[in-house]
Amino acid sequence: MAMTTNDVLEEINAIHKAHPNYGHPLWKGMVEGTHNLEQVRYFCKQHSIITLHNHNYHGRLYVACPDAGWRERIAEVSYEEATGRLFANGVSHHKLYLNYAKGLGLSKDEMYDADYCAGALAFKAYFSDACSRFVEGVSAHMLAGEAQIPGLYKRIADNLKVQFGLEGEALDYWYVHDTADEDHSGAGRELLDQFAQTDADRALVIHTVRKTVEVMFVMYDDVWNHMKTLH
Amino acid sequence: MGLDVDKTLARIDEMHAANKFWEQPMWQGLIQGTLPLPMLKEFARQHGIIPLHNHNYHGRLYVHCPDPKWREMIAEVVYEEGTGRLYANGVAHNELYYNFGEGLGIDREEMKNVRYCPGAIAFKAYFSSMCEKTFLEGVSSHMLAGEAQGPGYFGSIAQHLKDKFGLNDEQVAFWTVHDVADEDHSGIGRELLDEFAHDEADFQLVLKVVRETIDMMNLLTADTWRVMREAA
Repeated sequence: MAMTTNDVLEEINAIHKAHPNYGHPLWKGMVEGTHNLEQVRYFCKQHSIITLHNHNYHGRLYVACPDAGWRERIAEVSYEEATGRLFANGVSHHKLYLNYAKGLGLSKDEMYDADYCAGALAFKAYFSDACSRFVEGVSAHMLAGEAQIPGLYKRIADNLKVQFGLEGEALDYWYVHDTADEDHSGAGRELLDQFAQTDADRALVIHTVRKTVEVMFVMYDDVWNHMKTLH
Repeated sequence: MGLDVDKTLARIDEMHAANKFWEQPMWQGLIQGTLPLPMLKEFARQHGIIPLHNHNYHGRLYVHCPDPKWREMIAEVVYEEGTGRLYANGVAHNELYYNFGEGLGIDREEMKNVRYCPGAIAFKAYFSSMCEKTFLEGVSSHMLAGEAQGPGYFGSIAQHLKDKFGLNDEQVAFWTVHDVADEDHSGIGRELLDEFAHDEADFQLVLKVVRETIDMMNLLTADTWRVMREAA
């Protein structure tokens, strides 16, 4: 029997349920305040493989997008990331992240000279490649990568405030993304209806989401293994 | 004597002045409003290789930009092209172009399925590849060569389209918007060279890229003119 859009979305939900970010010690510690400052600083540097390299991901998605309606949407993402003029009071997203790093005592130069662990480098290579093909790119980006952010980031920001006394612009990165990345199930439904019409297409979407979540967990594991040595 | 920013920009100005694109029969016909409708329609079909494929060009530039400040500038271009919300009353630039096509009697399905001439295909391949080389090469090709010719003449093209073929403001907006949007790239050229061109080899590279891109645009124009004459 052919897979419906609902079948695919249910399968994707099941993938996320089996790999909850909050179930990983890396993210759990960020929410529960069990990491020390050096560990949080290390994670901050490694996580910048996403935030300071984001143009490699949504930029490629924009280039690969075959549809003007979707391109309009991805152009918004690019504009917001690079300028922050739609949702972040004109603070570009790399600056939001550098402000967070500054709150932890990390300078801009330290952030741009970060030595990334293998897991982070692997993620960048995988994600950049996936974003070069539209259906896989949107699946990896919106249905896998950003799906678990809403709700989680707010809790992290709340903890950073209590644990390390961060406030104001040092927390904006987390609060802005808690809202900006929500409701991607709607985008997923549109994507599937418009671009994944055969069983093979739908299987590709599921396969991509699963693979992306797995690669993200490879990154989390590697970051966490390094963090554990920082007592 | 070696090149510096001023000398490099002066050489680029000389290249554009020597090229005199406005004297090429295709552009002359557009600017002076002397082309018959079948030729104009064929031009509209072939020229779509730029506005309907533009994400392949500035999108690659955005991906390969190493500097957040420049990325902010290119993100504005991406946003304007993709949505038209900065300078085109919320009409995405591909829509501006479809409106132009419809004004000439070419519907969007026909426009989407154009059989491009070899010059157009070659231009797309060349320009896409340049926009993902080093940032200095990409911006030199895109802004110092590609967009430098046109502004100042597009208004005249729009006026003739209205006068001769009865296109309305919406249908000529592609031309009027770009008459303004692409102007003043000399300031950008100076910033680019100050920031990214550090030695003689860099300045020579910029000149080579601009020269090549102008040649490639001339190739596109020549082949477009060929198919336009066949369509006459």
